[in-house]
Amino acid sequence: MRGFKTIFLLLLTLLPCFSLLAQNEEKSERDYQKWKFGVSGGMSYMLGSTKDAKTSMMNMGIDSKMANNYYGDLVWGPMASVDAQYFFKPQLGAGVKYIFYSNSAQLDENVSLPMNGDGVSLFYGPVKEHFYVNYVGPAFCSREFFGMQKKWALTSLFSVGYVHYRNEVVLPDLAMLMTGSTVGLHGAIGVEYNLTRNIALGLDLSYMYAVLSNVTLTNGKSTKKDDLEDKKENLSRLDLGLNLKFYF
Amino acid sequence: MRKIIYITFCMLTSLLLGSCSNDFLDENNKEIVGTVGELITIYNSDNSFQTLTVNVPQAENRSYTIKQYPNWMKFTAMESKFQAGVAEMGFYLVVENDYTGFQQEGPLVLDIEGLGYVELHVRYTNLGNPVIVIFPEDIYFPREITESSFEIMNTGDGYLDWKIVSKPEWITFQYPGEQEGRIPQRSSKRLYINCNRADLTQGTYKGDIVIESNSKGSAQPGGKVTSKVKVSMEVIPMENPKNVLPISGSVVGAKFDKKHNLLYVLTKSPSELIIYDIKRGGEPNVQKFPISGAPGCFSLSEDGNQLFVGCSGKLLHYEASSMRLVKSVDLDFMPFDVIYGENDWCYLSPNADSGGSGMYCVNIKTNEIKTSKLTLGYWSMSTKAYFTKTPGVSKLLATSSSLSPSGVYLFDITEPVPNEQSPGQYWHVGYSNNRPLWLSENGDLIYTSQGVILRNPAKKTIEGDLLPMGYLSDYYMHWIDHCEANHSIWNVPQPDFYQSAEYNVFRENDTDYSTMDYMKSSDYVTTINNVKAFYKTCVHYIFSNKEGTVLFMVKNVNNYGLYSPNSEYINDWSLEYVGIN
Repeated sequence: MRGFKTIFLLLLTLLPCFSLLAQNEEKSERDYQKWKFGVSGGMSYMLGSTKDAKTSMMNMGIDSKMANNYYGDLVWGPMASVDAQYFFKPQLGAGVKYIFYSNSAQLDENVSLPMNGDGVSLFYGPVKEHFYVNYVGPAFCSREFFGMQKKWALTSLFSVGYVHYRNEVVLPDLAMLMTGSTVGLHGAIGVEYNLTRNIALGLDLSYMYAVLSNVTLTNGKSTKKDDLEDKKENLSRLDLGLNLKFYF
Repeated sequence: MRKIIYITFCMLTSLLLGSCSNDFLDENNKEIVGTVGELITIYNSDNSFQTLTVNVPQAENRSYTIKQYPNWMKFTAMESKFQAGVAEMGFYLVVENDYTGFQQEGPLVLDIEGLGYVELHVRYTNLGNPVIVIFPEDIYFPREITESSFEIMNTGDGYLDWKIVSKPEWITFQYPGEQEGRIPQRSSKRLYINCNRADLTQGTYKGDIVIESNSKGSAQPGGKVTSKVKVSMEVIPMENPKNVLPISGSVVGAKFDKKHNLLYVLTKSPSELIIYDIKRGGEPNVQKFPISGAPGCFSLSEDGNQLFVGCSGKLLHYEASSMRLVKSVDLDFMPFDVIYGENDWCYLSPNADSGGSGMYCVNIKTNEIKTSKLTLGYWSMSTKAYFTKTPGVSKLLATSSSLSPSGVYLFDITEPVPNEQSPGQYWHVGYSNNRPLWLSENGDLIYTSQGVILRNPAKKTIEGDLLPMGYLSDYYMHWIDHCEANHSIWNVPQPDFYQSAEYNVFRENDTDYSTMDYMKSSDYVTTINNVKAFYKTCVHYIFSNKEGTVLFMVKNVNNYGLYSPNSEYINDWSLEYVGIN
């Protein structure tokens, strides 16, 4: 529900852009570049709660500082994206958006954990995970130039697409791959500055909403599906990215 | 622009490929490549530091990581290296349920570099603080002894785990399965051992029985404590010494003629009389004379010249010096005891359980046989009576072995066939305990089986009760011999059970009756149940010579504890003579 609220707010933010689009349509009708290709890189912040996971980790005997560090590492991560759009009008376009997000975390040191539940054995080794979230989907975008020489532009983008999740988990007694997919929503607003006629530099703030309700687990020997039920994996995040855009 | 798209495409492709590798799952394919078979036991030690030694020869000098371990161990280093296949792992015990007897087991898995996982099992055992005490710590097997035992005691708290780890080859355990075990606190375990002298050359053998235990006292917690029982034995040739002479038959009686220093031994199976002559000194001259019949008793005349043998259905009269048969008198009973009185009359008691005809009087010259229903007061002479003749006195003493109390009879034999009118006395006392009455050398005193010393009423008339005038130190004696020359009263206890003690021959002073000496008859080398060994012996008859310089012991193997296939009494007799200081 919280995710939906965020989307709603994002859409509200995008609305002014669409209104600007109508006002300036006639001025730029003849002289604008129809193709835009952009690459972006930046940092993401995972919005899902880590409270339960941290508690679970501490219950296994890992001290709170290590657990905090672990999940602290896990919520912040790098992202990269590419997108291509065709502006069928100076302010309005459509295309595709691809976002790659990866993150990893590892406990500061190897730990001993009671992994097999026999009440006796402890397993010693690292606890780490490396996960990847790939998003791809059609995108609708808008832009509005402003400033003295119209070198500045406000941009916005909305997309619905496919989200693929992959988490490589290494525990003291086991290495395990979790994969899953779902439908995600992505919205972004930004500002860009035209360095030349074809190149612009921008800054985007975006939000992606995705929640996994089941995953596939494999250890390399066997595979099973797991319905997450009450423990759904929230992949939603906020991204802040610097982007380079090419117009032609 | 195309270049930009191309570069971007390449970057995206590499990102995707980089995020698709499943190589990290290969860690799950690692398998246990070996196990250490021996279970390593760790003992409680108040959670103090301990070291676990793991031997994996293939590990050589490789590094390892402890992959899996029991939660009651806390290692000081999870990663280290083997040194020549040995890893010393320091750890602390973390045990909450630390009560005595608590035990838990778990796997310990090492990830050895380039080798894989190696698994071993460790067990934590809290056995408390047992303390081992062994008694005795020195065991010596004299030449005739093959059996012994020692006890392992746990005087501490907790459980004592013990194990025999080594022993001399010539030591065997009677119960081979009992070479390790667990002893609760304040308890003990007795281990029975045998020494095996077979095939060993003559000499002294020494060795240790080594016992390892978890007794308190080890330098390292849970370490083994080594205790020892020192064992030693002598191996000598298995043969009897020269002063022990075998007797081939079963001895039915023995008498000693102190006038001529001759020992007479009567046997059955074979029926013969053996005469040991020690007059010459050194080894006795042994003569054996067959007896025609089944002998049961015999008697020597006071002068030692005549010998009378009571056989089944006859009384044989021999000339003692030549063992010439003088006469045979037929009897219609089996004699229990015989004594020569005087004037050719012998007195016999029948070997019947009860009733019977009292006493038989036999004239060996005329073959006249008279029965005497001798009754003194209310008490009639019964069967199975022992007779005693006081030298130079025409009176006989008798005591019955079939009545209780056995009583003391005194009757006059001036009239050869005593009867109710004959002078005599009876004392209703129970001093003789179904054994004969023995006289001092001069005949003044009577010694009884119960150690009671009486005045001999045959020598000096006693009016009234026959009261003890002294007591010997011992009780329940089987045979007594008095030697005036050295004031010794030799005696032996009843055979078998009572002679299982350390000493079985006693000597008391004939003046104050104090114990002068005690000794043990030597063991006898013989073969019983096809086993040749030194067997314990019981002295049945003991005599000293007139001068008190030589002691004769007529003895059988000790039947107490001796296995007999048909539960029959084992007869394997011998004569031992020793010099007396």
